[in-house]
Amino acid sequence: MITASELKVGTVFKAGTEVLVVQKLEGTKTGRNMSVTKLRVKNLLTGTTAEAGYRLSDSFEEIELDIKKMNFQYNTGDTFHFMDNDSYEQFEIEREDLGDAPNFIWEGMDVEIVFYEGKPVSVKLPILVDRQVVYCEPGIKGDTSGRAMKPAKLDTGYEIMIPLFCENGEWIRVDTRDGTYKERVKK
Amino acid sequence: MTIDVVCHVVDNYGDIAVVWRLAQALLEDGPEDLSLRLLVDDWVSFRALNPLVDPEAAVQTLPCAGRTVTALRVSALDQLDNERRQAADVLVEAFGAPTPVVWLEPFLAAAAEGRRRTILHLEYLTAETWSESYHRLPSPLGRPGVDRFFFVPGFRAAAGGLVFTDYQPAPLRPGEEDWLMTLFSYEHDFTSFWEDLAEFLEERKQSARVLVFGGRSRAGALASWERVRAHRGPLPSITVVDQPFVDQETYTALVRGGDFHVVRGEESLVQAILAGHPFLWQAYLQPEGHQRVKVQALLEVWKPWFEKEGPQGVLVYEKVAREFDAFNERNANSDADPPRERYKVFWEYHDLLTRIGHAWASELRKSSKLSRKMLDFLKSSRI
Repeated sequence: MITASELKVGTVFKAGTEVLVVQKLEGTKTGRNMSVTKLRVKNLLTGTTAEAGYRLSDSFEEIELDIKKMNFQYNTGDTFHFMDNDSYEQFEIEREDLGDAPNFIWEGMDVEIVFYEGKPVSVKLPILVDRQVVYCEPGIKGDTSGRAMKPAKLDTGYEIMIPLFCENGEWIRVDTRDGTYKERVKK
Repeated sequence: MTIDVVCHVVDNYGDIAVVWRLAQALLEDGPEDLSLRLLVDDWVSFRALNPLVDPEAAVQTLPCAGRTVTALRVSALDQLDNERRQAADVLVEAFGAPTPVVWLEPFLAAAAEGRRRTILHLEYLTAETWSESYHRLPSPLGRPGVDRFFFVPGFRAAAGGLVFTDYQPAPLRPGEEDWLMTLFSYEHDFTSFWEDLAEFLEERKQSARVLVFGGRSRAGALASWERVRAHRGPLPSITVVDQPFVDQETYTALVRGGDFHVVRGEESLVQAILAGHPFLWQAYLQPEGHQRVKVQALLEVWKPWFEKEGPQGVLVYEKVAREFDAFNERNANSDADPPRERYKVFWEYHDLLTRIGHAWASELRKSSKLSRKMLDFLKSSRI
């Protein structure tokens, strides 16, 4: 069994007869003696996507899944193409099935693809990825506190808030769980 | 339509108080064929709020809002005959109370075979903004024929509203004093309250009766009263009543009849707001002082009613907000040295605060009755 508190983006779980995959974690709210988490889930049996809420103590049946290491090749619009690193077989996954993963993956990146009954349903990402800032306003020297932030765009197209001291062209480390800036890295 | 409300009493009277109030409200607003059952695990607490409850009974029919409600003791559910076990159309699980398996299984089986059924997770009251986006949020159970949703009480327009009844008992005002006040909170040091009250009454040459209710705040309130009296000498302007616990109707009548109330949690807060008199709220204590977030959210939804009174309203709001924060900062789970509480604002601006309170209460009564919202939601879900 798995509890709602253990659900992550990409987790596939069974609620009764429904098989659901978590596409997005939208936050947890705490009341007296309990917490409720809000998710965006896709029903793998009907293909429908919806918002859902669960108490963190709710438990679900775990699903037997296949996980394969694959390489992200390219995307054509909303279709993302991956190649099985062992069999060289090609797979297509639609953007809506990838959750927030398109914000953090790049061509040539190895990722783990989750399959349910032979069909790719989600991507498992590393918790931290390094990406390059391709656009931001000029950095402010001297402000190294990291508290004041400014908008920036990464090479994946993802828009993120970064500290004022970061510069265009620099590389930063991003937490894929919530899409936030972690630190500046040297490349 | 049959609705079952499941209540698990956690650590005080708040859970059953809200559930009993909800039962009355649903029967006020529900259709004639509405049948209501309460599944309650603690009948001693239930009896404290409603003296007609027989704490020994397994099943009891109670008068409720001019109709009747069936109360079922959770520990005796498996002894009920089949007629009593008829699956409801709607299960309301109050504050995380899980439906007992012996009750849930026939409910799920009936849903799988017959018409659709609904489970509502009734959450705690909050004024926080998330109450709107979590209210009516589906919570797929994945069982055939069953829809499950969160139902989040709240003050904001798109939240689930407040639990109250249209019926209001006549105001009750014991004593002849100029002021009637009640103290019913969680553990708290009331030293500043007694000092401020003594000074205020001395300045005004007035008197006050203070009802200190039994429960978690009683010891702190009485101990601090003794300390202040020992320090200041006799205080004949204040009559302190060590008030035994009263039933829900009597408490509501006292809140309606009084001039200032210290309240806590959910049920007494709502009653104080709807009575329209000045009040001070202690939120349920939460880890890391999170109760202050709840308090700030309440102040936020209350603030526009002060602003309607112009600059003086805004000024008084700032003072009231400071007192709410100071009171909730001085909590058992905080090591910080909070600012001194100053209670006089509630009495010096009593007329203004009462005017603001009545205007807010009137609006809430019109647009935020939870039972109406719940019945409308069930109707829209074709229950």
